[in-house]
Amino acid sequence: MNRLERWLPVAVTVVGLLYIGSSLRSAPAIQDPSTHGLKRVFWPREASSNPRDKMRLAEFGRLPVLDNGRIKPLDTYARNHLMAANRREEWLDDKEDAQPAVRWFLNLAAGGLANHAAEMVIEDEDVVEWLKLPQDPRRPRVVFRADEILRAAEDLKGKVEALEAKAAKLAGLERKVLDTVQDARKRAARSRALVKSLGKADDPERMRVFRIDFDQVLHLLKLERREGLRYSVEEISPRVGLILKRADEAQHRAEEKDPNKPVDTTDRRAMDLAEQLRFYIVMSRLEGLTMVPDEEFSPTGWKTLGQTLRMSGPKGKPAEHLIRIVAAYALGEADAFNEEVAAYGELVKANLPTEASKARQEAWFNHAAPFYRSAALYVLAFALAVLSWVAAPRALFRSATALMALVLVLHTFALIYRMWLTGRPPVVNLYGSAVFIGWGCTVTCLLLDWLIYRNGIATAVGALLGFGTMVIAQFLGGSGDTMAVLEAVLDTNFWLATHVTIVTLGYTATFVAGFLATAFLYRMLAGTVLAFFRNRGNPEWSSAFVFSMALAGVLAVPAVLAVGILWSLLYMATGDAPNANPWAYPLGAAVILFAVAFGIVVALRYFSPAPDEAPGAIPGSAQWMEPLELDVASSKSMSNVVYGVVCFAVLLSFIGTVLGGIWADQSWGRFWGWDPKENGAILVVIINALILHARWGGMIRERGLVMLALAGNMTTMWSWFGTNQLEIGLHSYGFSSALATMCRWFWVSQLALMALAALPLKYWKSYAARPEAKAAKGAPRPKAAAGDPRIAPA
Amino acid sequence: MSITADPPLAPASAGGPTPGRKQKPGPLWQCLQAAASLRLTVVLFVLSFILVFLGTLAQIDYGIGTVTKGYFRSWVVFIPFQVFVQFLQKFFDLHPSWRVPGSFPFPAGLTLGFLLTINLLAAHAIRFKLSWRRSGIIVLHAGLLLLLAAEFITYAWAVEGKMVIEEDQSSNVVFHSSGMELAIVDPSGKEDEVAVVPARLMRPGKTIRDERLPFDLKVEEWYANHRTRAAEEGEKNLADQGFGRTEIAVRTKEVSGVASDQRPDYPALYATLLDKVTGKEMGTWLFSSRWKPQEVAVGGKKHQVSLRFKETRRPFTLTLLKFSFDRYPLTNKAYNFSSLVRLQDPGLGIDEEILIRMNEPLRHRGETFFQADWITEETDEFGNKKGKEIGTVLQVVRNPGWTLPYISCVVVSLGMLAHFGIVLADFLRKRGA
Repeated sequence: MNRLERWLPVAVTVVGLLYIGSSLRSAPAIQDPSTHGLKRVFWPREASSNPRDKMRLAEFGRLPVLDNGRIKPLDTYARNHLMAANRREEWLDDKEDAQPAVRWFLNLAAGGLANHAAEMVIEDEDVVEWLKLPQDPRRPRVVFRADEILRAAEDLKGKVEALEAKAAKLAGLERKVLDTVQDARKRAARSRALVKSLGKADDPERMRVFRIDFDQVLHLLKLERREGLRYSVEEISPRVGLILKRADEAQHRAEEKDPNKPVDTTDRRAMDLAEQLRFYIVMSRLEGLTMVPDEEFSPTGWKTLGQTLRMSGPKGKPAEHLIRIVAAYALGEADAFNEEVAAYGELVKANLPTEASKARQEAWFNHAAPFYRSAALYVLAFALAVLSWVAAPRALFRSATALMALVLVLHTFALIYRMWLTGRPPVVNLYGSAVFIGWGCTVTCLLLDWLIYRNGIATAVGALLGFGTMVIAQFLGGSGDTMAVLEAVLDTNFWLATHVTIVTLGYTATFVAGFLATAFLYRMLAGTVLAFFRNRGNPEWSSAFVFSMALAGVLAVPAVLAVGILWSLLYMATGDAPNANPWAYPLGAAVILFAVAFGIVVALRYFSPAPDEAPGAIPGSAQWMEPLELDVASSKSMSNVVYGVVCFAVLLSFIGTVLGGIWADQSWGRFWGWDPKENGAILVVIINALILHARWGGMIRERGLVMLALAGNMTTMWSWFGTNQLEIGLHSYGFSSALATMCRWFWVSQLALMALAALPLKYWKSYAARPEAKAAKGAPRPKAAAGDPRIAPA
Repeated sequence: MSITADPPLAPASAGGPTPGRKQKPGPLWQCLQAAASLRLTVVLFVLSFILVFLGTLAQIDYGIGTVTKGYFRSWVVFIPFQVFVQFLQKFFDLHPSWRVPGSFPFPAGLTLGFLLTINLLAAHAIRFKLSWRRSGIIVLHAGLLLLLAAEFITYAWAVEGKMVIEEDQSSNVVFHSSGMELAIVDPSGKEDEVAVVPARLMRPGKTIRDERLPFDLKVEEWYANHRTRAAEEGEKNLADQGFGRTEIAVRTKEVSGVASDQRPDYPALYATLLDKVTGKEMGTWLFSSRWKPQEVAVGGKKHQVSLRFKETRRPFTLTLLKFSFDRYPLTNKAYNFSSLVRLQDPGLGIDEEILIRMNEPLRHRGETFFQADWITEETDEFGNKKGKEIGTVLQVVRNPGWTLPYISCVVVSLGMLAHFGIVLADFLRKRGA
């Protein structure tokens, strides 16, 4: 073992540990964007003068609130709702600094407080009549805004001035009117002061947090498409009515389900935006979130801040604290804010000890985001495993597996932590299935590389699947609370732990088999390209078409993977799909162009070799494929492992599916209902059983196995996400057109791989055409010599 | 070394006579061999795969009941080409206006299930050899046969219904949503005289004549599922009698998927009544399964006519003491439904209180009562519940084969574990050698 082999894995592990360690720390108490973060190390800026940068916002985010039936930290609520509007859990302020979701929430609340300060209740109809106050149908009849009253008073300037002149002697209606106007002046001033103290940076109307990437919707709003795609209420408000109207009409049509009046994409996007705008309207009245417990902290005693403020009589201690917290935030009083948050935190801890501590832990989990962080490590592990086939095989392979083991620890920890937070088995919703499938793939692949392959192929496959599922999980997490409470029928930990977990493991096994088959196919393609070079000039010289197909496959697979990984990383970092990210297409084009150029170079070496080239020589540009080439033993081992994993897949998916039937029988007396999701599960069983029987019957060998395993991938994707797109049945949660797009491209990619796998059978045994194999007269090549670092089965 | 060295069910020797048999195989044996071929198994798997997939897509347009009957509980199904178009519309952005007419025949569930059973039995019949190595395979396939048998028993003998009980009320009546009937009740005698016309006879244009009916019935329209709305002024209305003069039935989509609240389809019938003797038309009526009975006078006799779910009666009663709908705090989301009922069965001398809740049904006299739904004070035109809960809906199922899947699950799991365990052990031993 040389120095590199010894120290590189250690170094990689240390880097990974540092990365994990840095993310698992608690959020800093005070996060001043002007001094915080890597960006400011390179572009330092003067310390901020905004008092809100000195507030303990993270501490505020750890406070428990009641939302959608469960107590959660305010941080979760803020992140989920900001995510829904902004597609990110942070937002960029006017200086382009990233700000936490809690600050967005506090800005909305402060705006709500300003609105409330300007809100007046006038129960006397005569006063309303005297001032000729306009009625707003969106509000209760007795509620008016101070600035409306002042405007009305301005219209009646003479009459009001006359009242003021004889103020001392007034009585009855005139007294009431004057009091109302004077009260309105005070309230309007206070409201203006609140808005003013919020400043430009934290004005809720100016936060650019509405992500609009659909041109027709932008057109409706008469807004220009601009980089970043984030817009503020101020920009949207002139035409907000149009969006709300369009959304209402679309909603109505969607309920009617009339095929002649379909709901198109613009309608859907308008509905999405309208939902966010309505949320904003609700928040600006301080409604929507029951965040204020009553004095006894009773489970059903929670109220919204708006309800509390409009309530007459004593409001209770928690309410007083929370109102002071929001007021201190609005007025920019950092010390008062921090003191109040600490005091309220103590109060909560004394009254709701368990919930308060769980809320703190959940807030920490949100901040640490271990699933999100593991994605980056998966990419690194994948890169190391792939590089190990080209250079420094042992050192890089050991580093890759060490890193994978480390990610696995992080991933496992995150799964267990999540289970502990929810008190549930790992998979209770689509999000849970994504993180669990990723975990299962990692475990399986690490075991395979450790027990059987020892060449990094399974590690690479596992890392890729781990990364892919983390990206999917990130996407699914955007649709709301990932730890939401469950509908009554799902509220059974026994069936969730058995049926759901086992079915999901069945998906896992099918995916692992399918992706290992892809690796197998890739090695066949590399071998085919090399075989063409070796046999150049021989009479066995085959058609240029096969060579081109194989070469295209050898280059297209890594190119497509590279583009996919780059785009996914961009998505993880910015929340933008490729079509909205200005970097995505240029990057993708660069990768593809490079692959094409490289392909042309290799092809030229084949079709027009240099005159002095030895027959059968492999040009430098293709030598990197040599370690990938299959031989008899590695070919057998690859297909045996795929076969073995399929055995597990059929076992798990069958048991899981039948358990699902038994659950249904327990729930409503129907073992099997031919529901889309049930059908999806049975399709996974059928395709795996088909693979096994076809192989036992000798109908398929390597090529057939690979093609059917790819079909297994397609089937699993159908069962996992495809069936949900049909919008029917008990299991149709998680509708989203983006998932349909993902299914589509996944299926297309698998079909393309199947087309490549359809190359004539003899190329699956291209090793038979190798010079040394010929020398041995077709005898199988002996196993790779001990210590041969090149890819070969152990 | 390959793990396929011992193909568990591979033909003993392809095509040729079985070793050990000296005489030439008879035609029966040859047939058996053909029926036992693994190639047939694989073909049947492929066909089953396609059937299940298309049977899923078909649910975009048709109710789950229709699809189950047509695709999975028939011998042959005609699959419309439109299902492929719909697949492309959902996943490949094909424009929603695309329509492709026509359909093609395909072997349906019964055919494939039957052939798979034959195939499996034949395979075991000609290659039966009791040995440890094959024990797992035999056990797991026995379990699979049990599962197929369970599905067949469900298809042939299972009966489903619903029991609706309001709080503090008792009931022994079970409604069967699969069987709709037009009930004509003559309440003039001591006991109600009931004549029923089953829904399967309701084909538009058909005239139903029967001496037990007080009138002949010409079916104008039959909607498998509908809602009603008020008729607008001057609007064309098929009905000119009864409630139908002011209400119009609108055809709606059949219920698809296993909906969480198990809402059934509500059919509606437009029918013209004809005088039995003269054949004279007595006006056109709308009978909605959502309505209470309407009065039809024939020859001085008043009849109560309604389109209703078929009902059967039980020799015991359930009294709803309390229906609970437990919500998560401050939400409308349920974490539990339960019905506290009193079961009184004089025949068996039972009188006890029982709590029926989600995932915890009551089993009595071979039937199982599941918490399925609840009723509220009112519902809107789309059938959405409004107001306070006032009663419970229990799903009543009699399925003589209900235990078989449980047994099958255990048997198949053990069989697979045994078989794959044996194969894996072999593999590892050979690798070690």
